[in-house]
Amino acid sequence: MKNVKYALSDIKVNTSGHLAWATFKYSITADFRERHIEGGGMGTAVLQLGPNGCQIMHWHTSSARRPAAAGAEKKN
Amino acid sequence: MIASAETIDVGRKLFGNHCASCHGADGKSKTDISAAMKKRPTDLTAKEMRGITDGEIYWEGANGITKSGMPAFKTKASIQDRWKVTLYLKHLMGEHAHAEHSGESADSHAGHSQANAAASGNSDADVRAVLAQYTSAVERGDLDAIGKLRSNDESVTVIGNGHANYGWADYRDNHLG
Repeated sequence: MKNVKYALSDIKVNTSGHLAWATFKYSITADFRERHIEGGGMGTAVLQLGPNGCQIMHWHTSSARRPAAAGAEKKN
Repeated sequence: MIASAETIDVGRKLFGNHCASCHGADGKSKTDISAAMKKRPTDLTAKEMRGITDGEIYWEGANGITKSGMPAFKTKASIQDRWKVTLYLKHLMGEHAHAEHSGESADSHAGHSQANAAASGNSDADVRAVLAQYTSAVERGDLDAIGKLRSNDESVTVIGNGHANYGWADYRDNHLG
């Protein structure tokens, strides 16, 4: 991938003991082979505050649902 | 990054070029510009600033403070330069940056300061700094930096769009690779 732009926003952080968790919105754009990719959604990160410093233990992102294409039939 | 005379001096020059017009060369924010501002810039040497973590300084420099009008420098200065200004400000405050003797790279610096921040219970800004370092490393495709910011053992999980990677090696080889 080339020209990757990856940004987080609306970050909310909570900490308790040696754990921290954050929720965020993300956006990503990149060029992959011949395609330009644009995406985004929401995510959660869990971080451990340990002897090796702060490290990300868990990362979960979920992309936003794409709008239905014009003329697409609704499926039940 | 080491808080050496050299890195602090570079930080001092960067601060002088980009920050001193409002904060003053001595950090006390007693300048003509600051006097004319609706919300006066923070006196960086005030006792209220004592105990501020490296990550908090770094994060505020990177992201700015919208309400006060302080600009964000994440697109105006490199990660290394922003850390050098952080080291200089710690020096200005009469404190030693947490990474002073670590010899670690800028990308892993936030993680080390976080360990100290955890003990003080002041870790919000440092978590944000780690996330900022992480997204920057992803943009650069810097697997070494990403590995330092993630727990690089089998306990790490990454889930995206219904697919999961279990462990750093799985994520590195089958998602990033």
